[in-house]
Amino acid sequence: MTRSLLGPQRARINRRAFLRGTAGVAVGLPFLESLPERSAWAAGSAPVFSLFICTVDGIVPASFFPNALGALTTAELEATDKATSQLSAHAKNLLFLRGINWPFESTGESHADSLCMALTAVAPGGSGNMAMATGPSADWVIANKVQPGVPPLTLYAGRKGGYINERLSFSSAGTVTAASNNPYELYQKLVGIVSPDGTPGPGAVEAQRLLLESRKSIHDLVRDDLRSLMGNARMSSADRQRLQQHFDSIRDMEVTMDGMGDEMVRGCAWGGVEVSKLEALKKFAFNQNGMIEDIARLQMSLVALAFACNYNRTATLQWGDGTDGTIYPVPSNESLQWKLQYICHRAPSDSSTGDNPLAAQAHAEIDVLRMQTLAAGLDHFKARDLQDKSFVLWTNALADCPSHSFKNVPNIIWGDGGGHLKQGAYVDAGDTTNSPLLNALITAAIQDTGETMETFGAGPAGQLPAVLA
Amino acid sequence: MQEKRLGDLAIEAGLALPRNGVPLTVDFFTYVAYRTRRVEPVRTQRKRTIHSFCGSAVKKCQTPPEVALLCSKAGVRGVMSPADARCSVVRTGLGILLLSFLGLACGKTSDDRPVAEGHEAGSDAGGKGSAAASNSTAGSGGIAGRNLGGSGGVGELSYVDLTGAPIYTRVQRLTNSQWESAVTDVLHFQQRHEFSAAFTPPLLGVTTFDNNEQVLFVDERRFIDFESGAEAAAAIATGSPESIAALYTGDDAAGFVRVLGRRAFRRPLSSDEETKYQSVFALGERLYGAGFANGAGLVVRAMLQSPHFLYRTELGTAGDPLSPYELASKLSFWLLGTTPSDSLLDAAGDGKLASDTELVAVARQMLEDPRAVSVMRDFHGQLLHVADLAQISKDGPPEYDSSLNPQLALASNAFLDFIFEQNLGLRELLTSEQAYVSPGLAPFYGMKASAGALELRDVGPSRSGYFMQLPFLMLWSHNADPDSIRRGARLEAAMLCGPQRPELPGVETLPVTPSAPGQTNRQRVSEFTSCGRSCHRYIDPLGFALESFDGVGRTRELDNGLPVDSSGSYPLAEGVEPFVDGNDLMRILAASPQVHTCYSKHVTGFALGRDLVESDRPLLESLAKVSRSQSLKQLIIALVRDPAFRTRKDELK
Repeated sequence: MTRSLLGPQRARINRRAFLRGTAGVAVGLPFLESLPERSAWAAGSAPVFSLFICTVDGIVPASFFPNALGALTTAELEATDKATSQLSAHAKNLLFLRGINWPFESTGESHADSLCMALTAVAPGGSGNMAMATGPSADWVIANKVQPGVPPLTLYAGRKGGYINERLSFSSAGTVTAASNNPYELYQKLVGIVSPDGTPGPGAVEAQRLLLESRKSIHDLVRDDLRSLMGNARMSSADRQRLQQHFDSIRDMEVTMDGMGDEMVRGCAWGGVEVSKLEALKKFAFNQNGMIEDIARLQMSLVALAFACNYNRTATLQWGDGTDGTIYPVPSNESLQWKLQYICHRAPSDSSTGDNPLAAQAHAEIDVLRMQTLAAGLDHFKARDLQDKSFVLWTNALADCPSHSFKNVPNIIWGDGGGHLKQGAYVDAGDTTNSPLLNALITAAIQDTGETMETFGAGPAGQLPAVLA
Repeated sequence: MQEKRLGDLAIEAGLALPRNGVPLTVDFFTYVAYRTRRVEPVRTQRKRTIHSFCGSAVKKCQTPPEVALLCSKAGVRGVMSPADARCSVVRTGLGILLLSFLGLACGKTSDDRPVAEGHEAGSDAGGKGSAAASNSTAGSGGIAGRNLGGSGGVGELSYVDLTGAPIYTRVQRLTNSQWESAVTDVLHFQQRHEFSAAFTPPLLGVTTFDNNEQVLFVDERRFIDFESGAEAAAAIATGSPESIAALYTGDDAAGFVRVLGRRAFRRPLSSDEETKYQSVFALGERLYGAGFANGAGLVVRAMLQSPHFLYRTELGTAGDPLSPYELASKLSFWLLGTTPSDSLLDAAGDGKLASDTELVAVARQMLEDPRAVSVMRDFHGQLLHVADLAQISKDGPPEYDSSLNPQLALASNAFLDFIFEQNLGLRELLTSEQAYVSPGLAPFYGMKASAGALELRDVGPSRSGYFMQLPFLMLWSHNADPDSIRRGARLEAAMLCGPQRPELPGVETLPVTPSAPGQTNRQRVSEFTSCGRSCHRYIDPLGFALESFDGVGRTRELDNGLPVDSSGSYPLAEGVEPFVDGNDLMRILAASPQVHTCYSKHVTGFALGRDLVESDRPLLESLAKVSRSQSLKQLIIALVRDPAFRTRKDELK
């Protein structure tokens, strides 16, 4: 595809290219040279990328994982009649995990509480559907360590405006991160850094140079204006903080560009991304008749691209709103036409539960469908050779339906996280909380900093041995 | 003992309060001040320690029981709640009915009754606006009879909650929508290009309206949004001779900078600024080659990213009137959702916005602009969750399918537009017997479909106002059955402004499957909420009043073969009001000072872009008087006239 770099798209480029473009600029202030070096690529060791996925409304445990623990092979996984057989092509890069519990029981709305705990491993606060986490989530902890000031990608597949919206990514206690439910938004942000074949042509290079040079000048002007406003004695401390955040965001954005690396690395190209589908989402209207799976797949494909381009180090994807309204087009739901929340409850109710056997069958079929989507998403990670540079965690806010249990929630890990994580096995965590699991995953993600994480969440401390390589 | 902050002790005692789902530990002093009718500035309270606070409360019989308990734990004796036996003499002597703040429930105590008529309920601490006076015309939802967070006080009246957390910002960032409109108008585009469609969406669910200062900031993602948006807009604005001519008719950089700068920054540029942006013009020509478009393009990009464009500012002395240019911007963004026009800026420059008369004239003119209809549609839409209509999903009622959802949204918006455009107000919103009906909705109203796509029709005396129309009734329901609790909760939040009522453990298990034989929906819900969920006394009566409508909004006289009971009583701030059915309730609400105070709170919060607090109550009560007898437009004009709108509010340092 061909795109003008001077159009709506925004180009991102590496530090050296940016600096090359600054020569001869008339309007300028001390700039990039004074900024701290925060590029992951420049840190000397390879960065590890992390995607945390959490879907909702539980699974059907009996038909989800293989019957026995042990090694995973493509042939053996494919031969099972379990939902996870859909992932068989990725068997050698997979780690199935049982025996993980959320650290606390629900005190109100289980659908919200569970999402709040999934990546924080701390008790939920607040109440009802307005529950919030009481600590930061793993993605923010990682982002703050590997790319300070660069927020994680926070993505969403599903309806907004439902009973429980985004509740997965928290920058701090009580501060949920707004999630983007339209892949077009991330796509637009990636346009300009990605070329069709991974190598920008001479014209594009010059256009990029001009764009970056002009941006630098504008950034300086904006800084100047912000300084002037912050210097107004009448500004309150709250307003100064707000303006400082704006001020800092300029530097953060430039550091992000810096972190892009010198070259367009292998895999930083559009190949495999469904660009026409993404373009069609410019006028986005979410519907609940199965569109969620397309959105989830597109979001995953863009995260894989973003990682390959070192656009961002960590991301989350909430796959469904807390009480999901998707009416899945699976055979057993043809006559029911129930939304997922009702399927989970085995009854056509948001509040009570039943035992409708057709709903149970539909739920098992939905598990298969969602594993197909996950497999398609992982294909993008595999195609970009990210299996040893990243990990993808997939989990579900609930272990089971209709019990809404927080015990033995399913976990699937893809990728060895820079060699830190075990692969090709189905293991038992031993009935513990997600704290030690997240300790291991965070450690994998921040290993280029030389740090480890041992005490994330409510505990217990230490990294989960069962998942370590 | 070691000095501790009261908030810390509160947390230890499990009394941290939720607000908007976030533990409100840091605002505990706000809560204490609020419960004790001490509306001292929060910052003062926060500096106090447990000992200094409790010491000042000794023997005053005004301390909520849980706070008295904390004081006792901290070793300060003699801090008494109104329920303390030691206070009984005082209580009797003053002839005051003191309210219990204890979280009792189950209707097993004699306190579990409405505050008796004729008593000055909640006057125990002498706070202003004690709206529980027996005279229904007095007070309008003051701080009497409070019950916070469903703690379950019994016998308490409802009230308009004003426990917001404003920061009184001087730099109010434009919303995505305002940014789009402002860019369209500043650059004289013939149409919106919807650059902001790809922007980071607003954070919903944190504040009632998305223009609240709390959710408007610039972080890295939003910075990138505004940068890419500015670049896209500049490319179009300077992409052809025609578009440049629409932007500026001259051919000189200085004139271009001066004209565009005033439009973008909503005030004339200083001479320094003019010089700076002329340098930007020159840089554009140097980078991209000689030519007016190249210089102008870079200026457009720079100005649209400047904080002087992205923020609406109020930079004057606290307490002083806003400058004419600040007023022009404040008025234009509020009422038209966009930047002030060239003519309005001219008027500001000529000093024509200085007087009440002139400012009100401008506001009246804006209120007749079609853009004002869109803005007020957005206001009502956010307040009443109109966007959620697109997400309705029902299983059961065969007449319903999701193709009705867009019709419900259109009907909802048309009715709310009608209220505004026809110079009507909250009374009509609550009591109108007219509704917009589309062919698909007509059968649910018991009507024959007409040829027209959407028509204003008389829906008869059985439906009074918006809350008895199909959009609200269909949205808040379980399939074919009414969802009494959510109907009540939404009605309370929108029209009565009670405090947030957190759901309690176990609410998930509400049995909503069809009622047992011989049981109505009301009986089923009542049984569930009768014990341990005392906040339902503020919610359920409102929902039960709508029991005469099923889950798809059709009228019904029978529920599960039994007669529908939609009667009840409601503890309004001005007194307990019995009602015979939903229509009766709507008439009562339409006359209620509390309800008009609540509506004024919403209108003012949307206008000022901030939370409202106790110090705003006099303003809201004044506006409520206007709302009770006049239209929404007149309510808006009353707010424009008020110093609260026209002067710089003191901010928290």
